Amino acid sequence: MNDSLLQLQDLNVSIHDTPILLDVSLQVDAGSVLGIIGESGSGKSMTALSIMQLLPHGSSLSGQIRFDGLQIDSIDEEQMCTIRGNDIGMVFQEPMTALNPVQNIGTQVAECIALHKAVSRAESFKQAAQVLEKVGLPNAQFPLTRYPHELSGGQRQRVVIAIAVALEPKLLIADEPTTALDVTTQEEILQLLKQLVDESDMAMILITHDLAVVSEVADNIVIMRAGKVLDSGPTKTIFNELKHPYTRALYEASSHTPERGAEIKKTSALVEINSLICEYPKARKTFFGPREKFRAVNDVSFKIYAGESVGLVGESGCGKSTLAKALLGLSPIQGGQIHLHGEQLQAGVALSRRVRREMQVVFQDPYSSFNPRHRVGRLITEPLHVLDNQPSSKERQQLIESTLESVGMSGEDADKYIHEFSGGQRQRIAIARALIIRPALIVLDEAVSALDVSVRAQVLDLLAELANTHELAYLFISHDLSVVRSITDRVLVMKDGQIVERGDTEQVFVAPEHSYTKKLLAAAPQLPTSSAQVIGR
Amino acid sequence: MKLRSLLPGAVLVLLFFSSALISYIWTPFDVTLIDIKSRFLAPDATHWLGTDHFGRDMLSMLMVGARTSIAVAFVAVGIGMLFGVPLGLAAAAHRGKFLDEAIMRGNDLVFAFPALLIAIMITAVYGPGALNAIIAIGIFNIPVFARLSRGAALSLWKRDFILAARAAGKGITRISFEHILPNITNLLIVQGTIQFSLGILAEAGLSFVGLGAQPPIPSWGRMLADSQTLIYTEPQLALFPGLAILLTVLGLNLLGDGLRDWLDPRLRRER
Amino acid sequence: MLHYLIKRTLILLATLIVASLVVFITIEVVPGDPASYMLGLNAQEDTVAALRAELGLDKSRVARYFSWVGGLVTGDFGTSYTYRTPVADMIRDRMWISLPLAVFALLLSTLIAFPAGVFAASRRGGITDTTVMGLTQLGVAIPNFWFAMLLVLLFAIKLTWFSAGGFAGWDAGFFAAMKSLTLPAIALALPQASILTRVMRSSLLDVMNEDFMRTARAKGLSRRQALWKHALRNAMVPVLTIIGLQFSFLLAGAIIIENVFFLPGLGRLIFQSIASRDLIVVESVVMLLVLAVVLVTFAVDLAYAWVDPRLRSSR
Repeated sequence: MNDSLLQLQDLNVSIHDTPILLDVSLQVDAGSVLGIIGESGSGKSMTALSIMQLLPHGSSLSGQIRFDGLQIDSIDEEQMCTIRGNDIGMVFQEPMTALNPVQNIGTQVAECIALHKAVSRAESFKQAAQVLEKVGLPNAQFPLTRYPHELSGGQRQRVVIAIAVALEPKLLIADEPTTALDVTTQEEILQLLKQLVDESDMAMILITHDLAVVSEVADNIVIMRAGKVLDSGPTKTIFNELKHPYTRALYEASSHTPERGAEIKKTSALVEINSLICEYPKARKTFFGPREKFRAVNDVSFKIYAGESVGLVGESGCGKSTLAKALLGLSPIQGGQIHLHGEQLQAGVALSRRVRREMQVVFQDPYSSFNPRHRVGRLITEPLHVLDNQPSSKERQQLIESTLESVGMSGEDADKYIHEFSGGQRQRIAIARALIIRPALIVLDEAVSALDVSVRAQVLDLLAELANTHELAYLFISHDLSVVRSITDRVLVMKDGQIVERGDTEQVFVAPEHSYTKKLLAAAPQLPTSSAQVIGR
Repeated sequence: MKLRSLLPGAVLVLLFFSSALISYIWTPFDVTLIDIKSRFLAPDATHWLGTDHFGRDMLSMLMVGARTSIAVAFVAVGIGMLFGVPLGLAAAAHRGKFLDEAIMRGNDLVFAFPALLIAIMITAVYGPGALNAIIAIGIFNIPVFARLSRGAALSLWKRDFILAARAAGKGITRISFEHILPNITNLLIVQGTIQFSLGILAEAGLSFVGLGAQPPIPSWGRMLADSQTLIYTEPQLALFPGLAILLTVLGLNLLGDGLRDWLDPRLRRER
Repeated sequence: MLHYLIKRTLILLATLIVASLVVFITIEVVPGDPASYMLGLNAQEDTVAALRAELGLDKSRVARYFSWVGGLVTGDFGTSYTYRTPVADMIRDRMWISLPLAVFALLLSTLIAFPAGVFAASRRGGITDTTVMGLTQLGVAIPNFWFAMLLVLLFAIKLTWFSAGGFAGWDAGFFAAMKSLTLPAIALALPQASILTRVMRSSLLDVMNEDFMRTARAKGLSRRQALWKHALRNAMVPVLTIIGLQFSFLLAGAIIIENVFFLPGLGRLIFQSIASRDLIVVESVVMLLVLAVVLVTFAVDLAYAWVDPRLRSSR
């Protein structure tokens, strides 16, 4: 047992006297991959920062951290600096901000090499070039003089990985390394990490909230919740047995399919979009002459029938959000028509109240979706002002109460401010706000993407239930294929501003026709379908 | 934790504001009374802070002078907010459009004229006076508030709750007042106290060079200008008006810092 | 980069043109006629007319604006109404006091603020930090002309290390001249240094919370190395902005401080000109100061591009 590379024994961490980690014990063997799984607030990132000894100010730590024969928890900062980057490398969640914006990538990788090895400046740059090559950034295309802002998210994450593995550390800690990336990029980065681990005897800790991601890569798994380790063991055993109730709950929530009502009859088209075009002016490159334009939505046509749930899938930048905004009248359109109940909406003219009553929206981020200075009662009644006859204050009160109850909240919540609620509750309130004027269509723009899996399952159930009781149509926009599959009747696959495939959801998922759809489906990490058959690494 | 600056700041500000207010009803001595016999008196029981070169009671002069400083700075900040905030909100609401560009370029233009230059130009045309100082400092405050509210409003416009309000059919102006303004109020209050303190400094500077309040209206800057010629013989005359300015400005800055920490929900949650 | 440069240059020119219009129109609305003011109440009408012609006052306003601006561009600032000497000559002598004073003060304030700000930020919450922050609170609040008087009291009157005022002149040698500018420069610089220290510190602390600082630490850099190699340059943008703004405050402050130290600079010239209603001098000096401020803003804009590669390529 003492042979393992890293061993945490009864680790306790608190920040300003708030306990963050409680008796965390785990171990990583040389060359193996440990997956740490947990929802937000589980303490999984703090565990990583404890190993790196990079905890935020005001933290106190007790317990033992043994790494490669060293007692990390008690060595001094100076010695720790020689371990960080050299023996332990770390990759972070957010590639867009993890690199210094004013230094080129070569300098940032070379710095790490020069810091730990006695090599000349020229040599450190030479080695940096080799490392970048190894992580898939060949010098011909990505010279060392590139700045981070000239790279995409996936490419930046490769640079961060290059920094972490430049000195061939014994341990690589990857904290949600793919969460901020698109499905296909996520798959590429996971493959890269897997390959790096396979090629050397480097061990890895992969921290994630996504069971499917871990199941593809990890040898062993630790499941954390509220600062404690609840379950741990070899990946196969964990998924086969689902012994711990929380593990089981997580597993079930991850593959949750809400119960949906009978299929509706497609009688009349609620929304009909014909050859829609949306363009943005690009940033000026030349001073004179017309600005170039970027076509975010390029000749898109589709219909949504009353009571139907339509999915819109695509990766970031494919134009799905622009399309949603155009439909809601929040961004101008450059061509094509949008019909609602057969009536054409005027391009460039503010939508009439009558149209506004029919369409509402729920956004992704439960934290920025509400004015923090208004109470819930005022927040959810905001759309009421498009009604021709304003309800009396008594009617308004009843409406607030009944709407909040219909989304699983209570009428008393109306007097609270938004910061008193959790992410899942906020998303329920956002749905209440959309629901309050009884629209025919709700656009859900990544509405469950920011939620933890267990909360996400509950919100999906709520959406399915509301669709049944209120005859609601949904336009469900998401990058998450499994969620789209579980809640929609039909699906549209979007790429580069165009819809490349459409059809009944099951049809598209089982037998995709377009190569892009196939690629997307192949890239999506798969949860082991039955607990009995886990394919280990 | 940072609240420690709120209390001393509030106390200092309260002290000078109340003495300015009290001076309307009562001052220890009449400041218009010239009594050459009792000039240059050292501080004692009757004249707590001594007397000046005309034999006027320094404490009374300071109390009435506080009135001038505070009134000028207050009105100047008011002008800055009254024009600056709507301009900033309008610029943010029309981000990237012509109106935004025009407002921002106008801001740059005003920034090219330090308040003193504006005061110099106005004085050259209309002669010196307190109104002059108010206008000059006020004009300079406009772009400060315009920039601040534009910047803060821009980051709010990106938030989803604004999109939700637009999806609910609300217009730009209504959103600006209903959603944006309440969310930048804290920022405006904090910047307001800072501009207030800068206004007091600027007013003192303008009066010092004779571009502000004119005699016989007492003002701290003028008192310092008067004491300057007597600095070899009566250096104590320069002490109290300078301290008055220093403490008022210090008080306002501490109050501003304290308010910022107190109003910032992020810091409050940490406690 | 080129696009950024062209855009900044165009903005610079446009600002100058509009500023010149503002200055000209403001001064033009002055009631009364400079010629009759200069000649007194008993002047003959034809003498006044002759002087008006000499000063170019008989031409239309538009024509006068263009001849004024044309003169500014070619260095001919017109003739002083009072002294009947070329304004350019009057300004040239005095500019060589005001400008060095402002630059001296800017250098001083930057040289104090950089180490102080970095020092405070790197020892956040410690005693040094608290002390530095306390001192800057005082420095921000102190009126610079009062501080100047205190400096005179201590260093000129009590200690007699410096003279209480006046300017030795550049003919007396560089050090003699700089010595007479030292107290004024300190008086100007200290309040600005306090502001700059605070901005430097808070900007550094903001940057230290960024994700890429964590990356830097994960590489094995110590806190201090990460601060020097990664935080400092990223913290420069707000600091540069303040330095740019400060130059205009310093120029304006110099005008006031010159009064305390009896320095024959632009400030004194401007107040004399206002008193004698020599408006052409006021007009030209104000325009000159505006030009200085706008040029510094331009330089700051260029410095942004040097600090931040994102400005160089994308815009």
